[in-house]
Amino acid sequence: MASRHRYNVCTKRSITIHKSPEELYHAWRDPGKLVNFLSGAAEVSVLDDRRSLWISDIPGKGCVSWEAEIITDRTDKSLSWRTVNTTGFGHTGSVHFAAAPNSLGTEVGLEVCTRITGGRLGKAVAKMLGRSPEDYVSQTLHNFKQLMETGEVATNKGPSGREKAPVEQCGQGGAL
Amino acid sequence: MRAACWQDKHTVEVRNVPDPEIVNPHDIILKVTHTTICGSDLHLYDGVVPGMSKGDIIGHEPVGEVEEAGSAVGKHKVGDRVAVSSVIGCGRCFYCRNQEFSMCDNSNPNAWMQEKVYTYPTAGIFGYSHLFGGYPGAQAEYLRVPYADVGAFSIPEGISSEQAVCITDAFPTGFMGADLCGLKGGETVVVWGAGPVGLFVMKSARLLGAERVIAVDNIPYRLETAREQCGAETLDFTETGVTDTLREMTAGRGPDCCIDACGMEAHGTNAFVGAYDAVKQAVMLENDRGHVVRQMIEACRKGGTIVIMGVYSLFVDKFPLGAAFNKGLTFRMGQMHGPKYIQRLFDYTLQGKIDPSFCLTNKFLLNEIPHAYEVFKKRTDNCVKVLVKVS
Repeated sequence: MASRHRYNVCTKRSITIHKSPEELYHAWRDPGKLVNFLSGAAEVSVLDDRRSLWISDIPGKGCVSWEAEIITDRTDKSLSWRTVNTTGFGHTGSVHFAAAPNSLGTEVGLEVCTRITGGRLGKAVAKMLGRSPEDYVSQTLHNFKQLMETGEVATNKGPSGREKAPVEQCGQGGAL
Repeated sequence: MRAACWQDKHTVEVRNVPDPEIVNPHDIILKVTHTTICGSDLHLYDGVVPGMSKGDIIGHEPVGEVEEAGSAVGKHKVGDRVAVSSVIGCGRCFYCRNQEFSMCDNSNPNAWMQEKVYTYPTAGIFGYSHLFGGYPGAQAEYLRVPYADVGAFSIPEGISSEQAVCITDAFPTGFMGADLCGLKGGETVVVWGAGPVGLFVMKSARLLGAERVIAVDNIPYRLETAREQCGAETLDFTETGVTDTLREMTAGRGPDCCIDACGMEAHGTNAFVGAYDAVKQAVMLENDRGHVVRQMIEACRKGGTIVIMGVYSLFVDKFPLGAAFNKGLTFRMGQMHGPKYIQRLFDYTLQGKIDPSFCLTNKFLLNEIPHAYEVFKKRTDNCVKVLVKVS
């Protein structure tokens, strides 16, 4: 259960998206849309109005699942959630939407707190194994911006003469 | 399909790889008929661009036919002959709406990676390292083109594929160099580097009203091309002190605009400074050789404009900020904004103001690309620019 975890690593990033707070809030509130831009997300099942079941390929952690439960829901303004029944990547998260100045759209802030065991050493190991929590949050925000502004998530999927897959996970593709 | 794959420093191989497929609704699949090798491909070839992986398909100057179009593509249909901008713009973000396509917020799938280097991600570029998106490149039989309504342009009747392939990257890069000078007519413009981009800068400066164009290089056939094709006066930097000569050529005023069309691997004039940069670059203490920029700052008139179109990747040492500050110089630079210029350059070509294919001196087939890289790199056979016929 989430309450047993001590979420000791919080990452906060923000991005400006050329859409209204209302459109962005509703996209984030809909798991069917969220699955298209949440970095690494593979599948989602809606359990009820506040809970959804996720399967995700988290860089460095492999295939994990969790239930996300919405804790607070302020229409067009913010959402927060926590995870329960996880097989990995237990976390709490929140996202805020506020009108940007100069008609630039909406400022979106995302914070994800997760648990890395072993303090600095654990964090270093997590970085060695894959992308850091900062990269996860950054890529999720970029994917969200791409999807909302262009209707698709940018991807470099395509051929190469490489014998094995590249180390980095790239945009997963997807469209509204 | 067959594709040119980067293997390691100075090794490019033609390999059989899977065909690309439509992934997103704004994609097209291009059947590449013509492509080229760019001077910036030589930076990949020389291993000085970070973020390359063995097996990456390279090349970013594609012309061909639309083989397949995604569900949201409105501008193109199967069979259309198109030229595609090397730089990928989404067309919707703040920067694309300002026609600054190379700063696109959305087209780089590896934004998280590039943020670590440049703080903010820039546009994806075909076949130009994972830092710039990790997109498969154009030296291949087929290419997936994302956001095709933004970056692909139908080639008008009367423009050949050879002309069009020069309008995907080299000509718009040169044209943007002249455009960033903000020419009003009558200026003296000096261009460092008489390769393909430098020659296009010279021709573009003339188109935009420059009165004098001066080329700086050390390769006789390239200086001759600058004189004959672009009406340029020429300086061989191995024979003369560039700064002093430019001051005297302009009767003590200095040139109005100085444009770098060389980039981070420029060859030096001053033996000590050239060696300083080359050694630091070789041991990765300095990624980019900076003596062209230093020389431009010295040579430019007070209040003049410095434009950088040659590619730089990371750091340059010994930047003469004091001279730049006290002379009140303006700096303009950046990767080119392809979709902003392509239609305009088609128009200049149709009007007969320029034949962009003048620079294509050497022609190869796709399976000859490893040899083509060597020819272009070593500038044998008076090579200015390489055309690659794919199909």
